[in-house]
Formats: sequence, structure tokens, C-alpha cells
Amino acid sequence: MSEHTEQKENLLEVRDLHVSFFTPAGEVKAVSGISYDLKYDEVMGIVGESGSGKSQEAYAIMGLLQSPGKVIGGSITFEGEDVLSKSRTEMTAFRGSRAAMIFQNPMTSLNPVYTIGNQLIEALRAHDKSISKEEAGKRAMEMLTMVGINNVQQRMKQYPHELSGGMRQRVMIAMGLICHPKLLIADEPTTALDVTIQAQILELMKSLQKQTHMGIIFITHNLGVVAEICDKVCVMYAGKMVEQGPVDDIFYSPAHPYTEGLLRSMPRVDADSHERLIPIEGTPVDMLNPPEGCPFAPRCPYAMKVCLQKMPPYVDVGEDHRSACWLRVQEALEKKEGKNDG
Amino acid sequence: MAKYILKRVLMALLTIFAIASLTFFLMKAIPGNPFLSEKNPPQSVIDNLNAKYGLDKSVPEQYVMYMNNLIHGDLGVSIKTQKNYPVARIITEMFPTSAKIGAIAISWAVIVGVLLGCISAYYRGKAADSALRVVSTLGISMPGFVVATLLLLLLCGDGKPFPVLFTSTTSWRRYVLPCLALGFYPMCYIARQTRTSMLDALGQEYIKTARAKGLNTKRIVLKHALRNAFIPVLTYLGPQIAFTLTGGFVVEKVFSIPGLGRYFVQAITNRDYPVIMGTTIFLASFVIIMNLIVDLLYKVVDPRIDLTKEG
Ligand SMILES: Nc1ncnc2c1ncn2[C@@H]1O[C@H](COP(=O)(O)OP(=O)(O)O)[C@@H](O)[C@H]1O
Ligand code: SF4
Ligand SMILES: [Mg+2]
Repeated sequence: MSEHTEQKENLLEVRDLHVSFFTPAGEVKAVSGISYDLKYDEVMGIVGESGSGKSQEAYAIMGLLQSPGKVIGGSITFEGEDVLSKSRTEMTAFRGSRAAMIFQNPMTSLNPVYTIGNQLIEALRAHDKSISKEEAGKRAMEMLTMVGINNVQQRMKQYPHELSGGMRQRVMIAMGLICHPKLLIADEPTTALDVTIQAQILELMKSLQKQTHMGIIFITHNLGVVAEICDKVCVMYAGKMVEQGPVDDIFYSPAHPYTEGLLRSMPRVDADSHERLIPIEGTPVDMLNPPEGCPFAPRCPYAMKVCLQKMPPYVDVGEDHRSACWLRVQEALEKKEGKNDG
Repeated sequence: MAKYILKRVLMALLTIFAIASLTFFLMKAIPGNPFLSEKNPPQSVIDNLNAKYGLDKSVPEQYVMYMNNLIHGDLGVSIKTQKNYPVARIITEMFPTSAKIGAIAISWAVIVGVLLGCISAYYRGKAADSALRVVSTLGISMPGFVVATLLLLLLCGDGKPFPVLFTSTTSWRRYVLPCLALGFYPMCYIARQTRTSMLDALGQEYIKTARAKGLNTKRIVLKHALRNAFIPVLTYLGPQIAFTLTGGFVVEKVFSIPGLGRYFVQAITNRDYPVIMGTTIFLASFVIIMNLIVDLLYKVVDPRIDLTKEG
């Protein structure tokens, strides 16, 4: 982003992260080699189709991976601390207080048998044992007001089933932010909602981000949502990061055929363009038996021989803009040769 | 809420009426007569006794008579086991013993069952889980009299800690084995049910939310999962509490406990019609009341349930 944020140190550094599930049928490499930096105050989108490893990547940061899933390589550094070497107790203290996460389905993410107030207060008191119930209740109501809920006194006593989906997602956001975390991971927070509610929640998250200056990782399979809220984007395919860059570069000069496909299949907001949506052809990768070489090769219109044999290396295609595609490798070579010739 | 309860009470009365009628006719359809015995009394004596207790009238007439008395709160008198003793008195004297043993049995069954179920679910697939599952499967497939007899053989008698006969002592020890035997089946059942519903609850999204909030494992399991996991257990508890409190007659028989369950079985053998009827109506009412209480409790545990919307 802008220069002055650049000078700040990173909130989160993920390096060559690998997450695998060791199933009876074999190793599933849910995440294989993802790296990025997230600055304080920055919003990064993680985009990719269902099953591409977005959620598992986030769980790894939060220490929420479920067996048989394991981090098998790489590092996660949060405010200079090594997250992966934290003990269980340290992770429990870390979750919710310094990094929070909200999930896709607000209908099932809240416990149906406890009131909203109970669940909010609990989130606060889990990390601040000294705070009184009354004080916690007050803070909870402030949070509810902050996420745009009215009648908070009454809402506190209501049960999740008495609220609409959008309202519940607001409650989830309030609960995530109640301890003022530095990082919020939102895992497809709008996917399960109606389009109008989706827009409202996005608006809310944008304005909260401005108020709190927290870092956000916004997971979605919808590039349109990314354009709304993100500073930069990481595109995932079959557990691999295929392209990463500032949001404008990703939209106006995508450097990977998969990203191009995503853009073509994205519903346009400007109504007069009656271009047909072009879905990406082919089926997602079988994660148990991923192809050698580029995972996108079976669906890629530009696939070459080399694509089937070797995974392409990352090539810098612009400032903070990288892509893993043999086309870019070729271009880079040609450019170099051209320079040498000239 | 008041409307709902009123509705349930009316339904209950209707059910009890239906059960009473059905029992009456079924009971009359069993061959035999309360006054037949080894002594083979002369026909004239039997006729006199039949006349005295109104058994000489036609079955429909007897039915109308019984129902009429029932509405006036009169359950009649025993015609056999304890001659001319009011059925209502028999019930009030016999029931407390059954209820006491039943209450202890169901209490330990719930506490231990839920606990074991939680442990089993939490250590799913580990040794503790496998061991508990073997025990609970055994427990729900073993007939009650086998459990009772085993306990009796192993732990009762001279030099052993517990008495063979319930009535032979007034020490608390006499309660231990009957309560163990009576609670074993429900305990195993509850453990299995809790394990299943606990695993289900632990896989829910709200558990992930609870973990993401930074709650510790104890709180996640005991607060967030257990309350939800308990809902199916509660469904089972309604009728089971009633059955257990009204006395497993098998256990009462094995340990010679003067409870209502054992007495009931005796009454059937003796064709003691008023006792059969009275006890049946009492037990049915008890089951129905327990079910109502559990349904109301349901609402407390699960706020999503709207009692007024159901039939
Ligand atoms: N319990 C599991 N056992 C085996 N593989 C799993 C399990 N959970 C997730 N995976 C694998 O991880 C991959 C990535 O999953 P996920 O991160 O949830 O995808 P996304 O969030 O992008 O839709 C899936 O394709 C699947 O193969
Ligand atoms: S490396 Fe080859 S197959 Fe993969 S995206 Fe690039 S051109 Fe397509
Ligand atoms: Mg996901």
C-alpha cells in the first residue's frame, strides 16, 4: 500500500506454510507452500474455489487445525512471535484476544442454547478474568451497537434463533472484535447471506477496519467481494498460491491463467456489459493424487509440456506482484534475452 | 404456557381413560378367577364371593360400575392378596419403597452415564472409549434379572458386604445392590446416548466458534457441547424415570423388596382385579406426569423449542 504503512513492521508473516491431512487413503496436501506478509491495518483477500485450502490455511494460523490435519512445514510469525511453537495454553490465550476468526455460516456458528449476551460476555471474560459481569455486559452492548445492532439491551437476552442471518453475523463480528484483536480472519463471512445483507456486512467490515486499524484476512471464493474490501490478494489453487499482488494489479493485469479465469467468471457490476460469464472448464484437482507440475495444467488453455512436468517457480511480475506460471517464466527469459541482445 | 399445560392435562386424562378401559377388558379376557385355588372351594362359595365383589354381573356392567367409582376417586379394595384392603392404601404404602430405590437408581445412572458418555466421546477411539463401549453394550443387552442375580451371587450373603433379603436389615446397605441393578441399564443407555450426541455436538460449528474465542477445553466440553448433547438424553429420561421409579419388578423380586412392582405382578397372577386396575392407572398417570415434566424441562434446556406450537 502507501509508503508510510510500508515502514511499519509486519503483523503477520507466513512463510512456505504446508498443511497436510494424513488420511487412511494417503496424505492430502491441503496447503502446500503459501507465503505472504500482512501489515498492521492491511486487508488481504484469499481467493480460490472450494477445497483450495483457504480455511485450513487460516486454521493453521489460529491453531484450529483438526486432526488428522497438521502443519508440516513453514513458519507463521505474529507480531514477531513464532505461532507454531506456542504451547496449547498459549494458543488458547492467543485465540480470541490477539487474533479472532469468524465463519461462513452465522446460522450454525452461535450456540443455540445460550443467549447472545452470554456468548459475548464469555468471549470477553475468557481473556480478562478480572472484569466484572456488569462491566463485561456493558462492553458487550457497546460492541453490539458498534456493529449496527439496535435494541441492544433486549438483544443481549435473545437466543440466536430469534435473530436473522445478517444479524447473527453481526453478532459474530462483535464477538470477534470484543477483545480488540490485531488480526481478524473472516472465512467467507458473507457467502451464506442474501446479496443485500452481504453488501451490508461488507460495508460494516470496511468501516470497522477503518475505526480499529486491525489487519484482516478475508477469505472468499468471490473476486467481487475482494474488489470491495481488500488491499491485496492471494489466489490459491489446489493448496498452492498461484498469484499474489495488490488488488488493482490482480484485477487489471492478472498474471496467471487461473486468475484470468476467475475474473472472466465473475459477475460484473456494471449492468450494460452483457458479456457472458465464462466458467472455468474442467474439474478441481483430486487432492489425494494431485498432478505433477502445475496443478492448473489439466484445465489451463495455455498448458505446455513443461507445465505437466514441473511446478513453475514464482516470478515477480510487478511490485509485490508474483505469479507461478511457466508463461511468466518464459516472458521473463525473453525479456532478459532481449536486453542482452540490445 | 398455561394453555399448553391445560391441553396436556386434558390429553393425559383422555389417555388414562383409554388405558383404564383397555386394561379392564384385557384383564377380563384372561381366563381364571380370583377365588380358584388349590383348595378348590365349592361352587356355592365362589358364587357368593362373585356376588359380593360384583363379579356375577356382565363385563360391560362391571366396567360401568368400575368407571363410576373411579371418577369418584374410589379404586376399590383388594379381593385377594390383602383381602378388603383399599387399593389406594396399598399403593401409598408400597410405592415409596419402589420410588426411593428408583430415584437413587436413576440419579446415579444419569450422573455416571453422562460422565462416561462425555469421557467416551472426548477420548473417541482410544482405549478408554473402547472399554466403556464394551461395558455399555453389554449393559443394554443383558436382561435385568441377570444383572441382579449376578450382584446377588457375588456380593450377598454371609461374610459378604450386602444382605440377601431387603427386609432382613434396616441398614443403608440393603439399598446398594437393588439400586445398582436397577440403574445399570439406564446408565449404560445414557452413556451410549451421551457419547453419540456429544460427538455430534463437538462436531458443530459453534464449537469451532468457542475454540476460536479462546475458551479452554473444559469449558468447551462442559458448557457448549454438553448442554446440547443432553437434549436427546432428556427425551429418553421422561419415560425411563417413570419406569425406574415405579419399580423394576424383576429387581424387587430378586431382592425380595416389598415394592409396588413386585406386588403388581403378584396381583396379576392372583387375578386381583381391583389391584391390577388401580396400579395400572397409577403407573400410567405417573408415566404421563413425568413425561409432561420432562417436556417442560426441555424448554428450559433448549430455548428453540416452542411448546405452544406443537400438538
Ligand atoms: N478432515 C479432513 N481430512 C482430509 N482432508 C481434509 C480434511 N479437511 C480438509 N481436507 C482437505 O483440505 C482441503 C482444503 O480444505 P479447505 O481449506 O476447507 O478448503 P476451502 O476453505 O478453500 O474451501 C480440501 O480439499 C480437503 O481435501
Ligand atoms: S504453468 Fe502452464 S498450466 Fe500452469 S497456469 Fe501456467 S501455463 Fe497454465
Ligand atoms: Mg472454507
